[in-house]
Amino acid sequence: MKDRIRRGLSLILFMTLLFLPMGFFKVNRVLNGSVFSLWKIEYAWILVLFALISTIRLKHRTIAYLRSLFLILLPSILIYVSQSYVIAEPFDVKVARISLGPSIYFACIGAWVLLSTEAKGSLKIFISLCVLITLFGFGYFPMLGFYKEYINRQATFFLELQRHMSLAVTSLLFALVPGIYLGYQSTRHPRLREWIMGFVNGFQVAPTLSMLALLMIPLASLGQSFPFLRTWGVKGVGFLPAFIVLSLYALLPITSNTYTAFKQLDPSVMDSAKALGMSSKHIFRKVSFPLALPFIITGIRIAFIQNIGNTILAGLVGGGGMGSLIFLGLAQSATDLILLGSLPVVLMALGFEVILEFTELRLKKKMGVLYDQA
Amino acid sequence: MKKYLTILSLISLLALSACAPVAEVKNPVTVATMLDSEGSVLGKMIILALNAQEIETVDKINFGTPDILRAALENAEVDLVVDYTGSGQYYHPEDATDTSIWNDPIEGYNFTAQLDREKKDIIWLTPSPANNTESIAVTRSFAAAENIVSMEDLAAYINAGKPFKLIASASFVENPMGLLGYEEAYGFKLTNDQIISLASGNTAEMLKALAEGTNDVNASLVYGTDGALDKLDLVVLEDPKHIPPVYLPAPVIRKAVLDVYPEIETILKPIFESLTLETLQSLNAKVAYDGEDATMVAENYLKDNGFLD
Amino acid sequence: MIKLSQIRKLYDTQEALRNVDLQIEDGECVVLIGPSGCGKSSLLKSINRMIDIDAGTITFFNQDIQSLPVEQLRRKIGYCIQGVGLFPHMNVKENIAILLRILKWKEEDIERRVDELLLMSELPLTYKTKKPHELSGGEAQRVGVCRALATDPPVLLMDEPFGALDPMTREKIQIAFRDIAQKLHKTVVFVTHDIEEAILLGDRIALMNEGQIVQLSTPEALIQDQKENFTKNFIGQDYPLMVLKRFSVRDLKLKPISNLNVTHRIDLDTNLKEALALCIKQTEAVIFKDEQNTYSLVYSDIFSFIRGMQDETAH
Repeated sequence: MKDRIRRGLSLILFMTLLFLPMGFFKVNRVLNGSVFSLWKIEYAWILVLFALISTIRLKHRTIAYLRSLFLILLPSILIYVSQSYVIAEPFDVKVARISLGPSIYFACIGAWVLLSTEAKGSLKIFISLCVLITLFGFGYFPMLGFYKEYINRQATFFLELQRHMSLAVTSLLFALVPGIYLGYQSTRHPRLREWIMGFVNGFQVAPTLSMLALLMIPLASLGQSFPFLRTWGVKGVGFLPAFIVLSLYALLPITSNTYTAFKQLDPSVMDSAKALGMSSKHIFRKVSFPLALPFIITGIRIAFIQNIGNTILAGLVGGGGMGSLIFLGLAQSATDLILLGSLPVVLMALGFEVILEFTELRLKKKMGVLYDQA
Repeated sequence: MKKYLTILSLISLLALSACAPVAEVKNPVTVATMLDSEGSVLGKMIILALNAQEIETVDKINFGTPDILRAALENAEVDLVVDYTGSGQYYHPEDATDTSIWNDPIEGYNFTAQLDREKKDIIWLTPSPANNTESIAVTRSFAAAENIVSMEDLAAYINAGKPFKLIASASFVENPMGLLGYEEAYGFKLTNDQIISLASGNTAEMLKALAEGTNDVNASLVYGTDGALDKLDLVVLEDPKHIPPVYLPAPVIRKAVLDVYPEIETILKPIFESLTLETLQSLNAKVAYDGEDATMVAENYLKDNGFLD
Repeated sequence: MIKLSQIRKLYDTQEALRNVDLQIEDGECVVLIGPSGCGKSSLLKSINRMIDIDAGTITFFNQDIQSLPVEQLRRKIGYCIQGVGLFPHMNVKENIAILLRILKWKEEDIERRVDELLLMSELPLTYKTKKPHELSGGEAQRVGVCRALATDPPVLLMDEPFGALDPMTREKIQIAFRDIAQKLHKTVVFVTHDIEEAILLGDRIALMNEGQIVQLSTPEALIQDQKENFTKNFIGQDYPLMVLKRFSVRDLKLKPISNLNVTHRIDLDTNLKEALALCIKQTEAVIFKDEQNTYSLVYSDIFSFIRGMQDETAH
């Protein structure tokens, strides 16, 4: 039944190839260009035909292979085909660019949804993305606005990407130990829990941007009073305020999930460990901590994904990262630059989500906490 | 438990300091500019020029919004920025009693430069002659069809009750040296539905709306050196009464840094003096509309004009 | 020997244990039984200091339990609870051997000991690598008992360990447990609310109510000697029949007879309740045999035995 829904959905999405715009031909970076649809491109309708056929469930093995292959390559093919569109008026090849239209986005989603109904669907979707990214990296989509933005500032792109990840990761690491410690202590002292939770929650409520603004003043004065701190980067703007804010934000999921992790420990297990005569150190090391670990990792996962997104704001205070690309794109009204900044963040967030959830699941199985006791 | 914690926190601190970008190495000059195309181009020019003279720089181009940039400069977080002479009205509001100085390029500049030097140890270097001031722009076709060349013509058009919609930033709309000043000087008054007011001062959106006629917009706020003027077939309406303040771009540097590198003044002076209104418009257009890399644009300009070998 | 004197325990203002005295001899199994809230679990847990008492002393082999470091005390006491509490992230072998590892036993010794315990509990050695979630309820509890016995502690504390099992499994495991405990001469303190279980396992039964021991006697003695109304009501009117299950045909000490035709396939280990049921079905004598001899059983044999037991305890 689910299968049929997915195939139906893909059918609808592929139909949009016929009716919705395929792309926008922009003469320069800022102005919205002229719309074009699939029909303007020779023979492109063959693709639609194949796409529609592929929604039918086929049993024959070879045909099924071909179908998978087609679906995997469809996104790349569509984007490649869109590159061949040209307008009648003269234009500067260096400046003009093509932005993708809704029909291509929908068709890609349709292809991926169809792939998810097949065996090893996730692997196939992953391969499809890899093909796309590889072709992109090797310059097979030269007219694509997204590509032009990328190629015109490649060094900056990778620098900001590295800054973004370094900010997200280090702020997470910094919050890790205090977060786990506070979460664990909250289970031992109920009164403390209220204080800690209030404190940590308070940060979540305050908007990130205002936190950044508030931090500027004390950090700046601190940096001026103690010059040696400045060499360590203690300034009102740049890396440090973003780092501090991100760490504080990462605290809540880590603390809260660590608390739950230890609270959910089976009392029978804890009792038997105590009654065996294990010292509290032994119990923590061999029983409580391993059993709590998968749930602590849940908190880390949430904090990390959250951080990857929040780091965008560092771009506003000179902290670098993909945010600076996004805000520059906003300032210049260049949508492809905005995409260049935000798409990698989305992909990173999704990618890490998948990896970390997988780790969590493996750990839960290993710790035997995935199953109900017989 | 406690012992583990101390060791772990020490390790994280060490990791942290290793990851944090090593800031100043023997006092290179931190150059920061605003988050727009002009900031990109001028910033890169400064960096290339200084590097060519063996002055090390730290690139913080497109740092942030104007307020953040100014705060960073005042707090010595950055060393050299590109700012605009008319901004003095915001930096020393208590002393800026005589508003007419802002309409004179030299007086405005001198006022700001003097106060900044005395009160903040901030030095304004030689500005460019390009007046990046706030004006009203219309499409070329509209100007031709309605025979509008100056603000007086526009006032007549509006007062005749013809369809008009202006898109501008909130600060311009509410500024007595902005829209209010124009209205008073040229004798017209816009109603609320004739204005679309945006929170940010960024003109890229506004000019895009003007060029495409979105929401019946037929006039927009524009800055003097905006690249769009080159590309989008727009004209700036003449303003014989010089209402808005004069905004000349200039390098602004902390006194402490200038004392270490006094040659910065002489390096940047000819470059900035060469940047006319039309030059800046075309450079900005290359970055904003053609999507060229700001570094290439800056480098080509410097080389073509003999500032760089 | 465990001696509890004047034990008092308060939860807020509620008295859970009121000046309780109890002495448990080496090798005997004392069952604490009573309605919910009578304090039987609290009394049990005070022995290995899982609960701290407010007044009174407990001596463990003549040592005050407060004088020992608590971990040392607990390593001498095995503890089994209803939820078993096996460590879900460790397999059966690691669960059983956890304390041995901490005590730094050699690997071969650990291996040997685990095998020994598994065999004794009639669990296949292949179970060593299984994880707790792969075990049935009964198997898990058996592993729990193995774990408790790993360091060969002289005392076992059992807190309703078989309560969550289905009746068939429960019966099997009860018998198996009794045999193991007797074979190893363990001192057992057992908490239950099931009177039949108490009869089966207990050398003495301590009936508790509202924080006090109402009566302490052998299961047989309770047939006649019921001190309070409470006792009567708690053990029920068919108590004497239940006691029959405690004994087997072997205890009747029947004399072998010459070969007659066997009427039923029972043996010397059949419990007396079943045997009596058979006698009721069978109008004549029940003839059965074991490997060597043939026996004849009639219901009067059973009655005289029980009478004999009661007379004994009355003195």
